Amino acid sequence: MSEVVLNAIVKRYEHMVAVDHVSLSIGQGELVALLGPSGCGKTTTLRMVGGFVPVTEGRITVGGRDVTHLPPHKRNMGFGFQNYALFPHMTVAQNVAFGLEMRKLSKADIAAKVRIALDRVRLGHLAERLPKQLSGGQQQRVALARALVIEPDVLLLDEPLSNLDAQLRQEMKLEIRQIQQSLGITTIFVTHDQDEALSVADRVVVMRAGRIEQEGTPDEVFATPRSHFVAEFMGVTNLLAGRPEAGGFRLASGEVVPVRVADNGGEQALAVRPERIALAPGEGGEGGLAGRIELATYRGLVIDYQVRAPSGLTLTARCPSPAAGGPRQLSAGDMVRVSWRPEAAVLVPL
Amino acid sequence: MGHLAIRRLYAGISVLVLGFVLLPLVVIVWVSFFENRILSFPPTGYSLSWYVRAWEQEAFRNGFLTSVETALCAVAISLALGVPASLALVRYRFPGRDAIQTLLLAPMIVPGIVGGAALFIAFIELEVLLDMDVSGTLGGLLIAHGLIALPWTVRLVTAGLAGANRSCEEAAASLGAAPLLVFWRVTLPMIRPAIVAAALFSFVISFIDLEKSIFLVGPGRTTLQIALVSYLEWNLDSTVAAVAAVQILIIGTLLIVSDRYAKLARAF
Repeated sequence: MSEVVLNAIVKRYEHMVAVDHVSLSIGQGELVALLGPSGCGKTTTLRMVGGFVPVTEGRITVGGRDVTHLPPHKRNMGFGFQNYALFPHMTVAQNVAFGLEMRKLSKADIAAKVRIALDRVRLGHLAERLPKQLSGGQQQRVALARALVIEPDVLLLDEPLSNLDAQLRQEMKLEIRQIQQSLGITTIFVTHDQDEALSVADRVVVMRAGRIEQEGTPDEVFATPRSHFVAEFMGVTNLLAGRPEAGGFRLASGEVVPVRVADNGGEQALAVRPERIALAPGEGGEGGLAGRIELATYRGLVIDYQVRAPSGLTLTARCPSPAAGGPRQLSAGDMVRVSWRPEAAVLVPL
Repeated sequence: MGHLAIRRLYAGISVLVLGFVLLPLVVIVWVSFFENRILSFPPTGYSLSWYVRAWEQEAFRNGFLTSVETALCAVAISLALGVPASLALVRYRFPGRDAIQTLLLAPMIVPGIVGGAALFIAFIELEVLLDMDVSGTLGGLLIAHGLIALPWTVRLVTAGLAGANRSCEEAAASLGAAPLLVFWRVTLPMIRPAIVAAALFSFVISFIDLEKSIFLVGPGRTTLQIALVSYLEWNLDSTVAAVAAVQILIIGTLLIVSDRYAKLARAF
């Protein structure tokens, strides 16, 4: 069993705390994404698990074994680097064989395992190439094969897709997920890209300033952000300050809008995804808020509208474009009524 | 002035500078083939006799061997000290790091004659202190040559290390390689070109040294450069030119080879 448990780990540098009491447990075979902006401590956390950064405080265990102060070469973990880190002077096959040589396997065993590992990432035919003769995507697959061939207890991936172009990133994302699931390997995946995290992970851990801000399934984190920061990071562009009152939520700009749960009072922010906002053309009509379109940005399947209410309140609505079967495009200056279903709004602390 | 004119001027100046650098070398090689008994112009004819005469001079033969031996030892010393020092300088942050870096590069800046005199005086003091020979010994000479080669090794190897991908070492560690194995299997191969260049360059730097050696050689242990100077004191013929031509060939070859491994220009 390779359950990974981080118990209140801290990384303190002379003038700053990079990781501040992070506790996390990752089940056997689970893929957890550490998500956050640069400097949030996600990579430092990963590198502490890998043994490349000394832990200041706290404990890390793998399958019950304390590895907190073990050097990296005794941890049996596979590490995938952002820049792939293939050995430039070795062929693809030699790169993959390296970890097996360190484990003193026989030549025949090594050859067999290398072949299987390279076939798994569909690179068997490139075994004798040097890394510099491969494309970025191929290099990343070699790196993955090299990390997995040693049958590690844990797979650690540090921004494995960020050096690839959009198309390849999509393919590699699926490939990593597929291999991870077929091997059932416990994996920590560090990324700053919410889309990547949501689509590969069983569980997403959002980090901010060295702490865990929120964790949950991709849907939990995406649909019900519990803080202003997470909401913003998950692409909720409408975050409206105000306070709940009987019958709704009073925005700082004065309007009262309906919400499903009138929470415990006090200053909060109402978070509404732009996709959940509906626009009805014209000045009349019941419900919602009146506003004028300030800016319309055509984006293919959707159109982003920036709408301004008389009170000064500004909202973004993302509506299907005519190409996606939506209504005709509105233009700047048009009057609209803005509305959303109460359950589409989430209250988050300011 | 037009664009073209500026380019022509630039090209012209480049050719002049290059000519200024190369002319003495060309002249020396040319003179080494003169038949004239005393060094003079114009040549009365051409021959290879000065090369034969140079080879017959025991002082030159022995000097050449001493120089090669000394240079090989200088290579060993400068690599043994310079490679670990470069690793420490590039990979770790520690108090006094800048000072140590400056210190290691200092022999490159201090004029050879000053360094040589300083070493000589230091060795004499050491002799008095320890009551043993230092100043005229082979050991003393080797220390001095290791010292002049060291900055070049440090410079080239730190440049090589800076270009080597640190995460390759971490990858090796994560795959189960202990630190020494990481160094041996990954770090060293990655910086091999820099080390080869450093070795070749150390050899050249030691081989051509005159200023430091002149203070430090003992009886019966003259380097080639010192043998040349002593010969020039009493003779003025083309033997020296022949020896110089051979040296130009050796050093030129070494520099061209070392440039294939690591561009010297990139170390600065």
